[in-house]
Amino acid sequence: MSVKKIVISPSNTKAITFLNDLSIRKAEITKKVENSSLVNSLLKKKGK
Amino acid sequence: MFVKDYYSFLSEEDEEGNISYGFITDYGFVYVVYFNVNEYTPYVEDFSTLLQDGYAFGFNRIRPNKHQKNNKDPKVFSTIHYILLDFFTEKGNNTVLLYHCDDSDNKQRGRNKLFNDWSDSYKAQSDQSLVKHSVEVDVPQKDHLRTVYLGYIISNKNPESDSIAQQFEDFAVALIRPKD
Repeated sequence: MSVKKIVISPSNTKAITFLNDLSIRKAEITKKVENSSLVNSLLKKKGK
Repeated sequence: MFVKDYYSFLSEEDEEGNISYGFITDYGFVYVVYFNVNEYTPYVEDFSTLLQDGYAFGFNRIRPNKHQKNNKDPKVFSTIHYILLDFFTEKGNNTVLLYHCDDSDNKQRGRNKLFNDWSDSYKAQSDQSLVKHSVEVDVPQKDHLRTVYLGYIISNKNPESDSIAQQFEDFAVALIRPKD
């Protein structure tokens, strides 16, 4: 047996803050990745 | 081990120890698969087995131009699968990858399904080299239900697999526990 689903109450601010933090950090990573030298060099190579 | 065809890839590491792998598809998409350290540092004390060798894992697809259409490309997931195996080989079998299917673009359900389909397809071909577990987290909002998926991936050779599964359950309980 293992947990499959969790339902968070709107008043559970601790969990909501945690999930919001995850989303914010993920958005930051996405922005960093999209502007990375790795992506730039791969896009350049693709164009050659 | 069953090996499907996959794209060639390269990897690089930044000064903080974050590792990124990149590859280019036949359709011109660039994929970056990232493994970030320190993402979960604030929680390591409470969930040490789960997080002390933990990396935040995810991937991004960069469209070469806005006109490029989506294509079903089975080589993408086989490449990501191979990258995961490479990463576990590099970092060791105790490594835990934590992932979070984002709800920022409302495609998290489809993304999680893709993840599950990919995992199931490897299991169906008797490739049990990776173990994946995820949990759906629903947060009712005023006008809609916000759903995110949290999960982990480990090597099937991870000696702490039972303890990791237990700490993931503990983490789920911690999420629903009322404030101390």
